[in-house]
Amino acid sequence: MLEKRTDSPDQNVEEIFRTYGNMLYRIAFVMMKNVFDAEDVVQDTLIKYMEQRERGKSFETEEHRKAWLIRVDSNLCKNRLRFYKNHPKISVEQLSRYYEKEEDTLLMDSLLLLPFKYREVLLLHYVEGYQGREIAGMLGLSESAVRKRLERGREKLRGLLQETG
Amino acid sequence: MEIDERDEKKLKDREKSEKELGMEEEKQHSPQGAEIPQGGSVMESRLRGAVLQIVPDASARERIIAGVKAGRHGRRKLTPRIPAAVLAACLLLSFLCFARPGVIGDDVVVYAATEEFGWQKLLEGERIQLKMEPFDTVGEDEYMEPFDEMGRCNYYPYSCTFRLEVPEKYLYDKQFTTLRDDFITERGGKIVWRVAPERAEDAGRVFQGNLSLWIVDENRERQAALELELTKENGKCYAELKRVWESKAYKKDRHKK
Repeated sequence: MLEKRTDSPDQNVEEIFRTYGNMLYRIAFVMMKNVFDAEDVVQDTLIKYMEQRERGKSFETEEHRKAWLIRVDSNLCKNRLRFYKNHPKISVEQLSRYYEKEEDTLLMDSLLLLPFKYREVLLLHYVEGYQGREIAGMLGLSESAVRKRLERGREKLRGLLQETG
Repeated sequence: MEIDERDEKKLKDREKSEKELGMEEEKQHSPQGAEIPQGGSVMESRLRGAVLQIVPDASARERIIAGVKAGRHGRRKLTPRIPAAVLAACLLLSFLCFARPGVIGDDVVVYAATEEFGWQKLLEGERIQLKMEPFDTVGEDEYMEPFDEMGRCNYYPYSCTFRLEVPEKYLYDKQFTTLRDDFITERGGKIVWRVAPERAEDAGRVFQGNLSLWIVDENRERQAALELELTKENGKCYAELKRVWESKAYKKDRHKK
């Protein structure tokens, strides 16, 4: 298990990145809407992780570690968005590089048009597979707030898709 | 990898249960009640599929890992986090050490013109070398005897300058004890020490004089006495500030925060 390994910090961070890098990157990408910020956020998340490890932070389970990483990743996105709030970045060109089907590009484009709070819960629920209760714990929300955001997020996404397609 | 497999399995299990959860939520919260549009679950699974395609490419991976390593060993190490309390204490200390009098308390400040540092604040008990600026000059081809037949000084080739900052509610008065042929004057709000030429018989001697500064309040009552000890040694001029006396009220004022 990762917890018991005695690798050097650099090996450890590479291991963490191999395991959770994709997940952290896609969360950051969907939140930040561009690859540059996504890369920076993942990088900062891993730096924070290493700092915490050096300070002796341990994780009870692998799930705990994963949830911690998601929370930090998400919080860093929020911090950046707060900074960028007057300069929204949406780059369809960047999206199209991931998709062959136009409908996927349109779907992602619509997702990125949703407010942050909806994108966040939709991503954690439908993509990362967390339940409402878990998301609530992770984001510091009530379970009902998460349910409401999921519901509204779905509605808005559906509405946007109907408008575009 | 063990974790990957476990995660994958868990995700698959979750996917099933969350699809159910999603449906449940649709049933509970959608305005249509039990009428769930078929497109909803399709949209969500498409969403999952689409988002999962977002992965960092090889170069992005390299950049991230390189950035993390550089961040850990370089940038972050160079900017260690200092606890706010320590930072506040340092700021307060530096403020108390370097703040000009009058900001944290009222006290007279004496500055002297120096060669090396320009206007330098005189600290009690610290002797500093003064800048000797040309004062009275004669033409290049002219010559003037430094002393007349009566032994009086004909001109003063150099001057040393002091500047005083006195707190608003105080005034100052000065008294100078002679220092050989030198004298003190006030010019343009500055105190000027006129330095006479050195007499042949004075070579190697050290001369010392005092400039007394009396700080008086608005009622002309003395509140503090400072002494500027002026020294002439080997053709160079030095000054040292001494605090001789101060009233209780002045002392309190000086130390007020």
